[in-house]
Amino acid sequence: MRTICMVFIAALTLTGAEAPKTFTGVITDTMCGAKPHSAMMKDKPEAECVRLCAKGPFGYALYDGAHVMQLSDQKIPAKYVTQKVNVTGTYDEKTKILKVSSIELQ
Amino acid sequence: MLNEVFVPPRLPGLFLILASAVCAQDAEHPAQHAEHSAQDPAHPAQHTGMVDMSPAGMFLMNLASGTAANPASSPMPMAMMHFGKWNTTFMGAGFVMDTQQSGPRGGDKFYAPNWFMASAQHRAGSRGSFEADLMLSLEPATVTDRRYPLLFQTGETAYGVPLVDAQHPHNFIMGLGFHYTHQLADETFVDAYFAPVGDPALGPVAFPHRASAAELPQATLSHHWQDSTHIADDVVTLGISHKKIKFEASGFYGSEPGENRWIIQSGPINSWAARLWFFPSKNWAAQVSAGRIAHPEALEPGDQVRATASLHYSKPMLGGSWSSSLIWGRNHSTATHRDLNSYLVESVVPIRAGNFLTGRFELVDKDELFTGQPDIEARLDRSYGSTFRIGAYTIGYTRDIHLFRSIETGIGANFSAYSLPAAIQPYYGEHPVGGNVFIRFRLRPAS
Repeated sequence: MRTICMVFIAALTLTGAEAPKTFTGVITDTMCGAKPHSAMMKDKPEAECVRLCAKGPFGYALYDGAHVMQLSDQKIPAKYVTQKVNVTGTYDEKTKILKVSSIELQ
Repeated sequence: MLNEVFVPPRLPGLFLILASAVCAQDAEHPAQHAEHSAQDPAHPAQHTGMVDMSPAGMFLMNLASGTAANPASSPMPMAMMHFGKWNTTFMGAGFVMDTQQSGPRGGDKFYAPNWFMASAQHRAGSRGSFEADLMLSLEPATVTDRRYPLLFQTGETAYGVPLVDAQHPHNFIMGLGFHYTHQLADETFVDAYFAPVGDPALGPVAFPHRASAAELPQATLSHHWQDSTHIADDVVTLGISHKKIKFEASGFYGSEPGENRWIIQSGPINSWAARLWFFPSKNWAAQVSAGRIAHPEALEPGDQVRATASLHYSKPMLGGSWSSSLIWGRNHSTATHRDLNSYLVESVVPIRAGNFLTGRFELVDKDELFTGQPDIEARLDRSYGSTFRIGAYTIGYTRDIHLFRSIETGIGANFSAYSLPAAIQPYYGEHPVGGNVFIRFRLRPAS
């Protein structure tokens, strides 16, 4: 009986939890999003624009060519600004936040 | 991290905010816009987002009220559009609410606090940026009878009588200011601010703009101890910031707004203030400030010497931001020579996306609760003293309900219990309480 209960609970847990996926895109910020950084700051390099935006109330995000997903981790993305990366994690459509498990340079 | 926006209620306010929301919506939903190119031929005149920004422009955009700032990671609820090379932002908040209070001095009322902000920013040379801010409120119309009930609140007047157990509405023009910021070096900025109506360098970010107060529509009992100068007249502020430190000094006209809430009043610059900020990280902000306010209350003699200190924390979380404030404010009256203290702790936390738990605890020394009742005041003065330490303990909850695409609508309620000296319990009851239920409107965060 105990084993059955544990299997049942484990099954419920697994059903409820969304499996992490890998998203590929460029590290940007939620202010510029998909828009060109050259429009936002014409006299600054793209990376500096992203870093300045992320310093304020905006955060680092992943742009996969279709969606701008805010990243739950705001430290690791600072290393890969404007670079193409693979982010493993779960994306919440409602909050538009990608909960990050790992980030790797592509 | 993500931004949200406020919107006012009742017909005129709702119209104003809905108009701005619709404008923002017409210019595309921010999230949707992110999925398109910035050059959308269908919308040649309006674009969401910013263009031609500079570090000086970013510096200005992070300010919350006048030259005061929440922690950098605090949600800044705003819609952004650009018209040519002018970058504009819009914010607004509105609550339709009902208040019920117990005790002999408690009141009941249906009313609608609201405020709306717009700013326009333009690059000025290679290292500078100019910004004009306008903040409006329709509270003179939506808070009838020149007050709403708030037990133990004091400050300003209505119909020539000091307000007690009531909060005044904000002025129609809550703010009209002009900034110029210049980047001197990589992380060094100088800032000049002139505001016919604005917020001098005194106190924390005022409660309508404070991230930790986002789900509490009513004023703080400490308002006139901490942040009441957020609507001062003829404000001039100069500031310099370097890395994590910012110092600023202001001159301004010290009198509180008069009862005609539809006009801008003006006067000589007869008051001063200075403030030192420290921003240890993106999630923290701290300030200490002091100032002398010349004759702030119309019916009371003397000046106030005010000192404040505050610590603010904001942590981005899934579903929002956890924002908290710890604030101390003290007024010294040059007429009575009394030192009156106030302490405030306030927090809002998203327990799930669209569900906010909030709280505010205050201790405030009040000496105006019996103004206009000289017999009672004299009797209490003999038996107890002239100052009463009031505790206000508020908890609240707001849940977002999805009614509009571009407006975050929420229903909420908060409940306050009070502690008070036994000497004044005959006038307030032993355990006075108050409650508010409300519908909240604000623009959906730009993401």
